[in-house]
Amino acid sequence: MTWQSIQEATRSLEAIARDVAKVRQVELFRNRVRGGRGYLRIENPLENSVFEADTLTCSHCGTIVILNKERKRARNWCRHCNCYVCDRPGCNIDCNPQLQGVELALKYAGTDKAGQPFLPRGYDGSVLFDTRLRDKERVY
Amino acid sequence: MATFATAANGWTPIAHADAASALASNSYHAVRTETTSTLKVTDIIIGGEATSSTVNRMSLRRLSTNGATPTDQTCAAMNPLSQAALANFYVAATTGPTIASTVHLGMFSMNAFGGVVRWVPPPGEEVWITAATAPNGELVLDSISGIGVVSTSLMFEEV
Repeated sequence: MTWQSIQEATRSLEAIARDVAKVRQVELFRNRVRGGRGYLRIENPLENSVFEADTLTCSHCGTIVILNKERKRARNWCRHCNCYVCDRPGCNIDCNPQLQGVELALKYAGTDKAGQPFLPRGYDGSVLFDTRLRDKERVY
Repeated sequence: MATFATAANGWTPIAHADAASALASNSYHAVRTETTSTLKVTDIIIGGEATSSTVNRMSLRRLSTNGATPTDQTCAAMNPLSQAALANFYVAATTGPTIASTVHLGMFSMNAFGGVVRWVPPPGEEVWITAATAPNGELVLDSISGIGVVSTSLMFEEV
């Protein structure tokens, strides 16, 4: 086997690995949007009934959303954090993920900013903390 | 990461509106983090134990004021090899917590006469709390309306 053939074989293996990674990414994305969801089950033994539904969690406000199978409108997706977001207007205006709130809360723990509502959101999904703290950390 | 279970057995909810303050002991199930801990909720189970049909509207919400001097209970490790959890849970405090007037994280309606609710998020879609300080550091599972007796379990992963 020549050095050149080894290099060619390596290159084709790398190409296959890239393709596999791309397919996995697409599958992951599809699962998150269409299939890979949370699970809610409510049993009512009196009526012998079981309600089962998929759920999604809003990446921004953290609300658990029970999915309506009859819904025709498209669901919302944040292109910044690449996650599902609920219908609340505040969750669709800007990207303020729950995890960013966790990071800020940890960063400012023990300071005078520790009481800032980094994780809760207003009823309309709007952020409640001083956004200047967020903007200092923001990379996009 | 280590996962832990918290359980509050056979408690009678009180209908708490948003901003309800100084919640009475044994009318809620709260989970609290420490300054250095962060957790994400991975499972909620509510089992109804009422003796007649009662609709309970159970809710998972954040707190605007943490409970003062809570009676901490130890969270049970799901894996016996886990280190002890930093977080604790409580159902009683010298002064009960105050519920935040913010979005409700989860609403679970059920018939407390034997009804059962279970919610499990997929990986990456959990509800987070961190760093102890209100309103970021605690969660409460309680009733918005309905007072049928329930038992509740809340599982979390500490990160």
